[in-house]
Amino acid sequence: MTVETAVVDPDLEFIRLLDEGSGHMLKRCFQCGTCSATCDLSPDTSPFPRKEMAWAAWGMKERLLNDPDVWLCYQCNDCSVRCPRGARPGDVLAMVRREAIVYHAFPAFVGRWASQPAAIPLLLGIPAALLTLALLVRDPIQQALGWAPAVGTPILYAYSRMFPRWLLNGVFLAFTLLALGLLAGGVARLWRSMGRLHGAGGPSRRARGLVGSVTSVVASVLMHDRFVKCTESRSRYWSHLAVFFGFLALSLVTIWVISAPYNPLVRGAFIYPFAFLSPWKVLANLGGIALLGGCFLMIWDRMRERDHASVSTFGDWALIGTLILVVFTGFATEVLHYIRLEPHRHLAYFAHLVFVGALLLYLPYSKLAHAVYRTTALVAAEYFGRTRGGGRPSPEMAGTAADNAR
Amino acid sequence: MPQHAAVSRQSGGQARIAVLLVLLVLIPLGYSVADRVIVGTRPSLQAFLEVPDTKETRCVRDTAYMRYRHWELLRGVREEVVRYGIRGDITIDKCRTCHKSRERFCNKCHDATSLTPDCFQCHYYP
Amino acid sequence: MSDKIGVFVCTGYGIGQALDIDRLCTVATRECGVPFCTTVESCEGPGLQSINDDIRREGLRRVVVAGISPRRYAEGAFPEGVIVSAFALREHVTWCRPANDEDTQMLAEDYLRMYIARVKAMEAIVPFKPEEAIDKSVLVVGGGITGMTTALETARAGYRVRLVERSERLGGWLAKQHRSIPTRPPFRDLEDTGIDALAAEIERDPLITVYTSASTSRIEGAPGLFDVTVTSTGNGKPAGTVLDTFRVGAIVQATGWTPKEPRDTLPYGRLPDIVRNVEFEEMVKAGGPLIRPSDGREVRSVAFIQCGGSRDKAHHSHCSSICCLTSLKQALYVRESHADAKAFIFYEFMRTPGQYEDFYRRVQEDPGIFLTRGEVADVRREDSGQLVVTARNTMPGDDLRVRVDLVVLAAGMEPNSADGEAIRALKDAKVQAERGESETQRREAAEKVARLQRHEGTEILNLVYRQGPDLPVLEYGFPDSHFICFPYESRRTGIYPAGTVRQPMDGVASREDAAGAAMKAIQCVEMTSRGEAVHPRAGDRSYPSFFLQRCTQCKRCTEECPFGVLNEDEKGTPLLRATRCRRCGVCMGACPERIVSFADYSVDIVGSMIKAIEVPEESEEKPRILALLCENDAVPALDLAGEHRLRINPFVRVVPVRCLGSVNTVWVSEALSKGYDGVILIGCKYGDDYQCHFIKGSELANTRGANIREKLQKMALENERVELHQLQISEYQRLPQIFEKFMDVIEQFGMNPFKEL
Repeated sequence: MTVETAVVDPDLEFIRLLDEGSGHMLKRCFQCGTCSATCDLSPDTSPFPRKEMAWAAWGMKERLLNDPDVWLCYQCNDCSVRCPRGARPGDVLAMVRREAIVYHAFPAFVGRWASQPAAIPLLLGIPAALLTLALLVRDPIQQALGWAPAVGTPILYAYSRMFPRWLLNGVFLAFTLLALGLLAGGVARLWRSMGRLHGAGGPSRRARGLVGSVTSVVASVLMHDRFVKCTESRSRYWSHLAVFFGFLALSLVTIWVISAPYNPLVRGAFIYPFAFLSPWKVLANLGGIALLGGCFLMIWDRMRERDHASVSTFGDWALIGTLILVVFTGFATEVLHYIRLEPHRHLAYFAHLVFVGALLLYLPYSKLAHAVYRTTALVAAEYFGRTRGGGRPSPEMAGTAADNAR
Repeated sequence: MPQHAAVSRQSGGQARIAVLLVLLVLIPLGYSVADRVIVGTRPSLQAFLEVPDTKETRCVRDTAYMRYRHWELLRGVREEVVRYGIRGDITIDKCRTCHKSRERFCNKCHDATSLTPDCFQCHYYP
Repeated sequence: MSDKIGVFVCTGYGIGQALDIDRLCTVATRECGVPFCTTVESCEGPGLQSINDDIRREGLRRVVVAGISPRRYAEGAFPEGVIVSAFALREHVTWCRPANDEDTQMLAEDYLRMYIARVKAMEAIVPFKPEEAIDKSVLVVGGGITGMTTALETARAGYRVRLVERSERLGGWLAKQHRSIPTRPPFRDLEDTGIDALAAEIERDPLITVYTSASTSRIEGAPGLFDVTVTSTGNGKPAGTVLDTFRVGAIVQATGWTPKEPRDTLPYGRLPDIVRNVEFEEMVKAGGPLIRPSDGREVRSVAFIQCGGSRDKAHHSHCSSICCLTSLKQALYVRESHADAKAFIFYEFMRTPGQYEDFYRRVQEDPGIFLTRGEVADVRREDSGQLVVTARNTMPGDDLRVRVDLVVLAAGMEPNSADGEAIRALKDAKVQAERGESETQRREAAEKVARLQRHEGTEILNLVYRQGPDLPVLEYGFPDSHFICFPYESRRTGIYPAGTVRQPMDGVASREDAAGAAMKAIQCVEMTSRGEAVHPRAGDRSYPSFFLQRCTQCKRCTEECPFGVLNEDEKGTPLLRATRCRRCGVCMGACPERIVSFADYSVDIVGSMIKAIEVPEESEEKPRILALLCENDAVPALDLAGEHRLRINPFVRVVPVRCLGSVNTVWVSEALSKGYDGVILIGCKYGDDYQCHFIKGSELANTRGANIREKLQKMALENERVELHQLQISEYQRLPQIFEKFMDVIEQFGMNPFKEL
């Protein structure tokens, strides 16, 4: 093979960043490969996280940030517990993922902000300001367009005096589309690098095609079967399961509510807020409780001084914190509504909307992006045949494979 | 191989939990579908709320205001009467002249949003 | 011979139950005419006390003790002035033979006869006392960390020290270092080298005389009596000026090392920005910003290439042990020079023994130091002036290239030694090339001169020894010593190599080595002053005496002495330097005229033992085997075999010898003419990784085998009747099989026909 080897220029800043976020032991890795051997998720050919650890110690920033394998890791920290040098590969990969999110983020400076505690006021200020602005222009627009409150329509929104449906749907749809649009670039890059590095240019003969891949990944995500393979921290299965299904339940209810006017199942009166015992309200309340419980379990897990406890970064706390605040303000709105505290429930609802807005708006920059990137990586891995016991290494990875074989 | 068996047993448990949760999440949707199929077309808002007696052509305020803010109006009226003894022409009794049935008018929305206003603890409203 | 002889037969340890003790005593009293024979219940504690009481009461001058292995007696167990010949009746007879057996009884009786014969032939030992007084001061050659520490340790023990250093100042390589690798817990931070403090301490010490810019131009004599001439190396005074002459008792050679030239696959010397680790150290030590030698630009990245001058089969195959630590240390220098400086280390094997692992970890933790295994394939210069290093099979998984400002090669360590024997051979060959008798002889000598030419002028110690002016070296140029069992020992008594000249090592190990060498030097002068041997027969007061009237000047003894004890005069007569002697008896085995003897060990003494036994008639079908066993490993192995109750063939008669090299071939012919059916010699392993305590003894016995075969031929006996074996003490289980197999061989050839005569 006469591939001209590129000159490696270690990025010291990047090393310091990874090192700081993973317990300052990154450089201790001596490439024994215990991490890759112990990992139940790592494929057999050029497995992670051993090679990632070497790249990290050598500050190979580009290579790491475009490495699809980091998204196949679930940070169960089996490797970190067994690492004979205490180099914490699991946490290093978590840091690489955080950096990859920042790296793929557009515009880049937002990505950098979104990973700094100092930017919290600004980060929350933006959705708050946008919502306030929307409120300010609400009446002029309604008057100009003659959009009186929807009297006589079969749909009744008690909150829509303050936050008309067109306003909420408009603002939040914009947030969502913006976020997904910004994520698309990173997703495409991730998909391409998986294909280039592990698919030898095309889908594997063993793979099941795009639909099959998506189906199997969705089933696997719902089942949380990768979490189960973690032997060191079983509680993460439960916490993530709770958060995931809580989030799913709340999303379904939200979609049901905002799509009500166009929903053929809803003909006639649709009254919102729901009655307390309405199945949708029950689902939403259960979802909120699950989300909150899952988040608290995650916090407890992270606070416990245990080997498999992950090193926590701002990004981790930010996501957990935002989710808790979303649920908390949601419940506050509900309770204030029932006790009919008029201005308060609107304030709580406003706060709730700000946090939901932040969650959506910063999706490409926060840890929540893992939902998109990881799913993409999983589907790509399935599609290109990079699963346990399969996959063909590309020439670029051949060196690593040969090295591992020795 | 025993290890594999253990893993598959485990993932079997995982699958059951996942299916259970997915079903749980889908219950309201199922309920709504079933509701739609069995009950058929829901009544429109006009059918949902009792249409007022047409002796009066319009309420004390316009419909939109009444729909979203009647509780504020009533709370204001209560303040004036109870604290300052000012009796205006808006009273619960006056509501009753058009909106005959609490059951078929007031409670329709209050029940749907799980609200229990305390108007009726004093006022008689059949 | 008028001395009164006494025999003590021990009946303890089961000996009394296994043998007919009365018959044994009868052998002593009736057959050998010993006037005093008694039994004792033990030969330790009260038993030994009663033996000593009897010796004094009866006025015994020569004593045979048949009991426990003589190795079990402490020094001074028997009264001063009594000639004692003890043998292991317990280990060699009763423990390895069935009790109350006819052959066992015969074995015990034969041993008693042999040792009575021995004690009769032995003479009282008079320790060697030179005419001049033994000097107890120590010469240390080399003023590096090892030499300085040796000097201080020796002086602290109260001995006078002369320290000779070639360069202008003390300190050696360590003085050229900017900082030292960590030597103390937690092994994380670089330290001061401490050389200045050490030098100051030496300066203050009244017992130490320092000669700088000096070398030893002549060392003549022997332990306790070395006459040293120190001359100037040319700084200050003209080279060759005699600075001082003095006498010392022992010498420590701590001449250190020289960096090896890097292997020529790397463009060292062709590109100015490739330097060796010693040069990089100097660059850092000079202070100021690190700059490139080629263009003076500041250095921001450095690649270290490990084993740059070693561990290459074609170049320098051994590991120099400190280069890894040095590169780790120098990588820290690079990191200290600038916050964003980078250091790359390419290694084949990272070796940080012991606690240095902690230092390795500390270096690994630094974000700007990049370590990887890998083979450096190429170093090239780019147009920008920077160097690109290409490495294969690196840890990040594939081939790797890095762009750096400077490349540092970890150069290996070459010992600063001189091959004394090669220098001597060169000198001989030169003479031969000029005055050779035939054309072929002269041509061969000239070829030899060409081969050895690189040794010309490499002398360091300048010893006046027949076998060359320096210590003999083995592989890689390290002076010969057994680096595990007997460090510091060389083949020249009283001269001890220490530090990196002996084996690559770091400063801490050098200090330890220095202390050890100081102990050896002190031990040497002290024991020599008492007329005792130093190693390995420590405390032996016998020494060889030469009956020179019968010497034929054949030079075999002077050639074969492994320790260069014997110089020779013009005619080739051996001149004994007794304090150099290790008492192995190789000269005794070498001498065809049998003129070399010790008071307690000689051709006659062993010969009389061999002849003392009773050889049964051929019809009795009881063969006899003479086993000459080396006292260092084979005899203790036989003791161990007895302790483990291994069954030993009863037809074997064991005679311990100091070394197989001391075996005179006359013993073999005497034994065979006496009627022994075979002779077996068991000694230590020989060859490149020899274990012979006297270096060449067992090997010499093997080469002398030719003489033995000649004798066998003359006697019309089969070659197979004499065997030579190599045995380690740990292989004692093999001993019974060795004997049994030999018995099978003998059975094949039948009994010795000389029995009839």
